Amino acid sequence: MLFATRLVVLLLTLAGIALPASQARAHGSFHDRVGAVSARIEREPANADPYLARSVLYREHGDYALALADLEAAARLDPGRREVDLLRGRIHLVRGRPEEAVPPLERLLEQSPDDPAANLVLARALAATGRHLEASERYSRAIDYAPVALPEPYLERARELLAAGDEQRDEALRGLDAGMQRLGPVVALAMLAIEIEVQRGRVDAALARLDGLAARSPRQETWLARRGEMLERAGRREEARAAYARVLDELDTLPAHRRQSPAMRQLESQARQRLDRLARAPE
Amino acid sequence: MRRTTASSTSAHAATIAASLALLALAAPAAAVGLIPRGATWRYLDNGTDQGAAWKEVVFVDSGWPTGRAQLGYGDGDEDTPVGFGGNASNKFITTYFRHTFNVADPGTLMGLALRLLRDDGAVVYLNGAEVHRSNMPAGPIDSLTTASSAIGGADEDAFLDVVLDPGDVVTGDNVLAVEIHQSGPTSSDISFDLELLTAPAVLVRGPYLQVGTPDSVVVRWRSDLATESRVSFGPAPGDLSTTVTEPGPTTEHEVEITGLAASTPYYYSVGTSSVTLAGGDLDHFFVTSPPPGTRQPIRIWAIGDSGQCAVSQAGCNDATAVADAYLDFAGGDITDVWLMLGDNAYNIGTDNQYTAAVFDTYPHILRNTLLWPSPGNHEFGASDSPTQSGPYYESFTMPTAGQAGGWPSGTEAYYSFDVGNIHFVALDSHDTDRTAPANPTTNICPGGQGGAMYQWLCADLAATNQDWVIAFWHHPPYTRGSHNSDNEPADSGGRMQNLRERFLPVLEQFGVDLTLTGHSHSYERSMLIDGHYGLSNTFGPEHIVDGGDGTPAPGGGDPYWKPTLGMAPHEGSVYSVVGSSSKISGGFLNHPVMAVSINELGSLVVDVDSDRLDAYWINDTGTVRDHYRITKGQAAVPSLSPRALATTAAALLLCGLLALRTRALRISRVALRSES
Repeated sequence: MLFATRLVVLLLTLAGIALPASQARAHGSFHDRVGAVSARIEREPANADPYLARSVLYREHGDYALALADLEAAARLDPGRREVDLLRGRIHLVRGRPEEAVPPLERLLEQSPDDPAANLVLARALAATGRHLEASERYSRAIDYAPVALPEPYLERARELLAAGDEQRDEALRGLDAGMQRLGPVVALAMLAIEIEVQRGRVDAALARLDGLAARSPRQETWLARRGEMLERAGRREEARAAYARVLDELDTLPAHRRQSPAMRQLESQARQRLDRLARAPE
Repeated sequence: MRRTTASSTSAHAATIAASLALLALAAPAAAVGLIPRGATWRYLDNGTDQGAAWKEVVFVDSGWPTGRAQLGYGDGDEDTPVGFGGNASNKFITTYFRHTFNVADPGTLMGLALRLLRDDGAVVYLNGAEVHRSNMPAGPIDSLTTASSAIGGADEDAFLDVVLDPGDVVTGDNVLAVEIHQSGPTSSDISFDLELLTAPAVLVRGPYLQVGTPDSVVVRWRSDLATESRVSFGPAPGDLSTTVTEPGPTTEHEVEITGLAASTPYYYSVGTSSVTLAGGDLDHFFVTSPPPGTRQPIRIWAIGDSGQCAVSQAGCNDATAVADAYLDFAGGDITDVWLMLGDNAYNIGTDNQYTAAVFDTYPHILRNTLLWPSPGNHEFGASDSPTQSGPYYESFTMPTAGQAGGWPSGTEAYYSFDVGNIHFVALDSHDTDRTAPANPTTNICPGGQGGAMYQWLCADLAATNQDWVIAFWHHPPYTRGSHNSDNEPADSGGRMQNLRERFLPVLEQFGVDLTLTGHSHSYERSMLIDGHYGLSNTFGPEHIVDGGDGTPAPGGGDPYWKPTLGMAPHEGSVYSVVGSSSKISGGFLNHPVMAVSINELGSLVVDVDSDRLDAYWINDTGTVRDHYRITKGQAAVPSLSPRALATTAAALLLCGLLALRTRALRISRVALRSES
């Protein structure tokens, strides 16, 4: 099991052990749980474990100052506890102070560079502070060290690369493709890849990706609308017109209840407006 | 097909303590050690080539020195150092080891496994026959054959699990012989230890069923020692003629059976090629799903916050009572879909807590019912969605590639599947990014915006054509039980609000019919509503599609009616909190969207049959405390009910005055609930 997970298990297990049955049964009550851990702190004032456990409870409850205070207490009692820095990082990130999350996470990763959870939290902290390239590098490490591939780090890494500048677009695209290679046609990754292809002027490549997604769906109208938008942006007016016309055709095939839904009415309206715009605009 | 052992629940509670005690033991203690770790071995470390005779039972090894394992050199952790010839740059490649053990009656051996520590390579012989080769090249081996690679780091201390055939053991003396090979003459170290265990096949979890599709199912179980994995299955308990075997030794067995026929019952057993651990009886079966779109009766059982058995015996009793009440209600009919709505194992969802609260609480249901879980906040004391690690993710298998229907999510945190004419959507409301586009109540699924879960939900719902959509996750969008959805973010970190504001617009846009959640330890069930994404004080008559309680006649009310059989937007949804399957915690229980709120233990049964959905909330004594019905489509139009008239286009003009009057009545009901 991963380092970070082990830490949390350890901490909360230690807290759980201390719960008397009557209080443990009241697991749903935040105050009961905090009360139980606090009682243990009173009994064992030199033990860092219950402070760490209470810090997690406070963080989940949004009491960030209290959570940090407990971490400081734990660090004083046991300066060698590495998990303190991971918990500090998480608290600072969730309380909206990502810049304060960076130093403790970097400290932790000096000791445990292959911890995927710490790399991911640091990546998100760096992203939130606008350090896009550094964030993307941390995302890469989180991806490399993670036991299983997941969509979110791939998506967030690509977004950071795009935020870092146009010259990173190809790298972002490669990362998205790597994600889809491992995960399959995850729509969030595919949609961003399509957007990058369009930005790079590779409309046919974008259309091919779009067609791949559309092929999985029994209904085509929204995919055709996107196709029309992409073609229109690329100045391929005739093809755009054809795509919008097919949107209307597809809508006509829908049963009335679907065709009359707000989303479909909006789609129809947009398709007609765009057809009209293409008809009126000079070639 | 009917369940055959519904009454077995009563025996369950008594087994919990025993099972926990078993799990508390280290894995080797559950097996019998024919050769224990740290045993005394004879060894030969003089660099000679022993040819073939040395591994035979009759070989005389009395001239070899003896020493306790671990044997080796170079690491400093050896109990018995062996020699390498004195020249550190030209060490002996091969060192030989032998150990004799006696078995009075091999017929009593249920199975055989060894655990081998080797650095660098090893060949293992039992009674003269090679039974295992590790990190060694194929082909003939002599004393100069080097290991395939150098072993370093943590691998130097790793014991490798190997399954052996107990049929190779003979009555009386048996000899296990091992040759350890260096990766090269300058390699710094060798290490050797070995334990040989019999009766490894003790089942400690399961079997249980996951990811059911029309043509496949995943069977999982846990054994105390690593063995191969074999599932035998067939049309009858006595005819399990088809087998699927995964040879890799593991304690976490996960076998996918494919090529099955849809809507078909299969009986099964699990174990190894030599031992059946469970099954082969009337109680171990699964029924494959019908093809997507098939209109046939589907039974769903949903439990939420059911994990109290990991905390106390009282919690076990409550969870068991809820399950027994359901089984009594079911009367032996099988459950097609079993949903867990999160907080499946208190307090923090450790592996032991999962064993106690899930696998030891419901073993009789798990073995013949397909379980589809979602995580609650209490899972994430020990599990982690961003790295998909911990007991929740390690215990369950969820579809990530759309293999059970729906769009691939690429993650087990959120997923979808089809059963019959129902599309199910599972979300992670706690530990996965819940980002949505700006203005999510009106800017719905704009494409390419929002987090991965949001975008997946949009694509998934756009790609299904099922008659019904049921979504489930943990944090309720509406509740005033032990949690209060108005009290965000202080209560639950804003998650209830996130789901309500960001995800409900998507679900309603695509026509979700029923949403199941937990978190509050009570039962709360809404009217048929639509478009309410704010705090409870913003709820008004404009959000009510049907303000009745949906109770089918006779005895009150009328069922809810949605005009379209299929996914039609904004025809109304029912939101249900099912969070009292092992505990109750009260609360105000007066959220204005709710038609019914009950502070009792219980679970929810949902029966879907073509165009009709009946939901029954059953308390722990077996009393049906809530029953509502949703019917869909023109064929289901009830005769001249206010709802039907109000929602049927052809009757709009005719019923104008009646609709106005009905609305006035609904406003009164809402006001009364708010004051209560």
